[in-house]
Amino acid sequence: MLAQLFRRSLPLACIAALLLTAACTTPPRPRAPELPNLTYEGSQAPVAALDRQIAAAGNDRAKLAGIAKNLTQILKDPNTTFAARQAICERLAFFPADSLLVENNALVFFAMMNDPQQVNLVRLALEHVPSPDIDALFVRALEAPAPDTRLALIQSAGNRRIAGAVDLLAAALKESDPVLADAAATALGQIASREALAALESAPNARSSAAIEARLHIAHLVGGREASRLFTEIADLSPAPAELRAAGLLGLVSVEPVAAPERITRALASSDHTLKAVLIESLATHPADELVPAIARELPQWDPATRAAVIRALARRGDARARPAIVAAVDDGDLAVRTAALSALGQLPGDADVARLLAERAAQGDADTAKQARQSLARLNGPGVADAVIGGARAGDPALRAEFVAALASRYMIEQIPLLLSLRDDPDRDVRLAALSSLAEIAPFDVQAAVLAWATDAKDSGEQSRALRTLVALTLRNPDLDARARPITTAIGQLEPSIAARILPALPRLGGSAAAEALADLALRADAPLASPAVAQLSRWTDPAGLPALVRIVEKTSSDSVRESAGKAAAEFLERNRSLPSAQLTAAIDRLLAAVNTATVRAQLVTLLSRASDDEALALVKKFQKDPALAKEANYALAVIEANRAGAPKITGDNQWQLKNLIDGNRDASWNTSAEAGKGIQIDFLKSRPFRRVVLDQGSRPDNYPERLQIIVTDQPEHPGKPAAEVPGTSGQTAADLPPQTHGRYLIIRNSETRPDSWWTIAELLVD
Amino acid sequence: MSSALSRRDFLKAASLASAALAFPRVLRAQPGLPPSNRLNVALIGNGLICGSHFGGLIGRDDVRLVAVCDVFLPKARRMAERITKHYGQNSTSGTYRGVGVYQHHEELLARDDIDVVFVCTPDHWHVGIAHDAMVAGKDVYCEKPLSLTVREGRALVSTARTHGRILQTGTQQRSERAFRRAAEIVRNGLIGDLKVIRTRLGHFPAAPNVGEQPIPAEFDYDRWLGPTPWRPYNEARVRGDYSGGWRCFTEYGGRKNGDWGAHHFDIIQWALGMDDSGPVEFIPQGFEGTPYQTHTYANGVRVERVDDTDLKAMIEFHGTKGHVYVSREDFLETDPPELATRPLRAGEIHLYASDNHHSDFFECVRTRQRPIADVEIGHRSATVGHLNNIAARLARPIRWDPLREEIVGDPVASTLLDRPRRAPYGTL
Repeated sequence: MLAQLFRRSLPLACIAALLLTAACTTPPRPRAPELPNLTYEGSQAPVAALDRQIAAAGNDRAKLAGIAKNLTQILKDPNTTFAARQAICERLAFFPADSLLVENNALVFFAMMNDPQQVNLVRLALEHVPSPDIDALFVRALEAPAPDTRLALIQSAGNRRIAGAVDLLAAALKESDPVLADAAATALGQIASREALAALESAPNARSSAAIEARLHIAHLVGGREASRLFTEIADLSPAPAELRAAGLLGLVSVEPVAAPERITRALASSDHTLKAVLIESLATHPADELVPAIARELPQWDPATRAAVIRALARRGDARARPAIVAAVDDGDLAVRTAALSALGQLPGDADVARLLAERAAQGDADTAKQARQSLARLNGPGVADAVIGGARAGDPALRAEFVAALASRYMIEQIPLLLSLRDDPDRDVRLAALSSLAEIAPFDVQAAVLAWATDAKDSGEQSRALRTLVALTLRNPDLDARARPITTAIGQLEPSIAARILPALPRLGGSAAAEALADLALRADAPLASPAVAQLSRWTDPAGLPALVRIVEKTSSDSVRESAGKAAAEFLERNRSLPSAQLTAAIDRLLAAVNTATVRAQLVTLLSRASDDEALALVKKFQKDPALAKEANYALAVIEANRAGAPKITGDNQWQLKNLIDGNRDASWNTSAEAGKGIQIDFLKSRPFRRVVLDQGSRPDNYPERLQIIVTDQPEHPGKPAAEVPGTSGQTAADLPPQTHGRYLIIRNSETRPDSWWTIAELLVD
Repeated sequence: MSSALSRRDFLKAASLASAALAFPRVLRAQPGLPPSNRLNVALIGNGLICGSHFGGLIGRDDVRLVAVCDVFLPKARRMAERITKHYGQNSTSGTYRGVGVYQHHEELLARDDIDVVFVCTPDHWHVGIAHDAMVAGKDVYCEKPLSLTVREGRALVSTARTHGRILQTGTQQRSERAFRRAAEIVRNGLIGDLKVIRTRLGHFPAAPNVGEQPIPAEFDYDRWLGPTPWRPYNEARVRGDYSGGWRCFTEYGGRKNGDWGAHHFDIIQWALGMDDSGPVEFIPQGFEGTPYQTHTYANGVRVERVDDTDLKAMIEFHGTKGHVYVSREDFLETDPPELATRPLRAGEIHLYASDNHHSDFFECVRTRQRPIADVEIGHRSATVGHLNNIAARLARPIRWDPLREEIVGDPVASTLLDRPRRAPYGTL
């Protein structure tokens, strides 16, 4: 159809006339009623309707052709809005060519190609639709382009790789406008035919960056001798940007792998930094087999930075032939080279000698060298390496033995646990300590008894501390929370108090009710010297099992001092833990208040009732309202409990998806927003209540704090009034103490000052 | 510098200049020069994420921020002021020469003293600027997702390889210990055969239909649009906002499949050993009752995007012998628990280890090695997001040949592997 249409080389005026005629003679067709009037901000319903229509057509070519015809008619209408044209063109891109180019549609598209306002629209529609007819349409438009459409058409010719456009693009290479000439060069590079290359090589701008880039592109596509010729020319092209000449040499060594080693080593010996930078980047994956031996021979001759960089590339190749040169580089005078060499040895195939070398450097080197050597020893592979590590751990120089013992763990040689346990009797202290560290890293919990015995029978306090850390580490690997501490608590009961006291600090890390109750038993022994240390450890308990143990101590102990410290520890525990269910909280406080006499602790416990909402809590605070010493705290708690009973607070504010994370008891889930002035949240407690303190916990993002916070408490959020407090944000937590008598239903927390490019995170919002 | 200078005008001037000069550029901090030599760094795109990079770069002794560039000049000036303020306060030598401010990246790239460019623009400019920078002999740190389309991503890989440049993709989760550890556990089969992987990407609001507003002074809006179709200026369209702004518009990014998929799909690719490959099938949510957007690898491993159900972590790997849960902030949980801390055997796969994405990049620039999020890796990870978006847009599954990087048997879907680019920004 197009061939017929253009055979007579219709001038533009004729085409325009033809379009006009078509417009006059074509009867009105049904069209989406509002589509031609589409705007960017108005309803997009016509577009949605069009999308449905296209989807319903599926792969039915006739239906698609009908839709395309209608849409093209809309495009032809000069009153159609730009937004509508754009939406139509974006959708026509999905039509098959034979549906697009029906009847006189091509003429409409052609007219758009000659309109500077529409040429980019028609590219949206046609550029990615494969079709020789569409190619012909672009070529035809490029033959006599309207002003300001040529660049776009040249780009389309290149993007579509239209071979038939080469002559026109070759002519464009001679343009005085360098933008057009460069675009033509790029397009010819994309087409990459023999004719395109010939045009580029004879172009007036053959030495422009765009033309060189285009030839590089073609060279990579064609390969073989032609590529060699092109890359050689570009590499030798002077004057040309150094980066492009380097790219030429890079291409040359890729298409001539046999000659590559000699070319590369010669370049690496030079002082051409641009060339070296480009070539080294390619070394790790270069296909030339003889490259490694060639580099290994020449390596010592090069400057230190080149040596270090090349060694890193050799490491990535993993070719054992590089090993002798890299072993030699371990003693290089330059630190960067030595570090690179030690790192490389861990990546190359190794042997027993390399293992020993790495252990020596780990034992004798400075901190950085030792760290690198240990990392490489941990991953060294090769014949005899594992035996060398085991043998080195058993016997030899003590410093090396300690390194090999450490390597048993870092290489996860778990079958060597018996060897590690046997080292308890080793005469060398460093070896014993290394064995304990390795056991901590990899031992299963079923060697707990052996390590407990090691801890109780340690030869000095340093070894005992190390053994206790190991004991905790491997005990934590037992998922049975209650069973895992039992062997330890049993042992504590049988040990000398001075030794048992040293083991007690392990228990809070293990957690669980069995360990907590065992500590309570210790605290309740009438004559136990371990009572106070036991309570001290329970005060550090992190799981809920610590509370019942403390309450039992408070109720059962005959010692006033133990009762006082246990009561205080229980109150502190409740202060830290807000997730206790209301009934449990009330029950615990009720029992504690019945036994604790210390006034400050009692006041704290009554205040803590404000976190409850059950009937018993209400009754309890009402009882204490009559106690003059506790009336103030009881009144406060009563008001808050009544608000709690009104229902869960309702939170509104920025980033609504994450608001639920503010008061969920989970510090791992957070609310986040940008730290801009005006951002914030509002919490409706459903009933007016007193407020004393607000804490914003930033959780694991301690530095995501607002610049300045306003805390507003009000009963009228639409007229909030002055802030009750205004505080600067601080790392970790941001806390605001509110004035006495602060009272209201709504709590508003607002950032009043922007912190540029920063975030504001609240992992937990704590309100008292 | 005139903000009225069009891209075409600038290209013309630059082209004429290059024809008249000889170009022996001396690169800094390359092999042969002392490794302590500072790298000169330029920041292109001076919005939100640039501010984050600023915080990480400004205190480093091994780099110097020397130039900034933004199509909205006041933004560039503000960034320059922040840099100048810091260096001015901390300058002891008295030799600090200030920060170059540019509106057009071509001018910045013409400077011979710049070694490294950070591309922090919206997604639709990533490849164009990164390409130009590498051709100009710069190494590039490019924000994620690396590309706007599959085809331009591949073109960028080709540019990097042809010119021997270093490119680090801004997928910094690769430099977080927990993600590396999770990938190593999965890669070494420590949770058995993988059955399904679940990840959470979240939601953006729908792109608003916005009308035309006056373009702010000194904002080259045509340049901001760049290769994308022309649209009227509106603040809601161009705003930098992690929860919305330009990220809502498919013209400028891949919405959540691009924005967060670039991170989480990237870690999944890493864990599966698919850094140079990818999935073979993409099924949109809702297709024949499919509850979640799903893509599948050739070995049958399924990846589900689960946004509306609470997951334990950002990414969950479920195998026949165990599970791995991993998130940012160094969150790693495993079942069985000991997997989280178990050292690797020497013979097991040790993945590329980086604990700082910037440091890894600068080290690789100096030693000319491919970094942890090399251009090929960034391209392949972005491709996963693009293909999910194509399947969603067509509301049908697509088959993918990751070796040939072609959609199988669906010519219409294939046209979406790239987008037409508006002149004069139209060519890579």
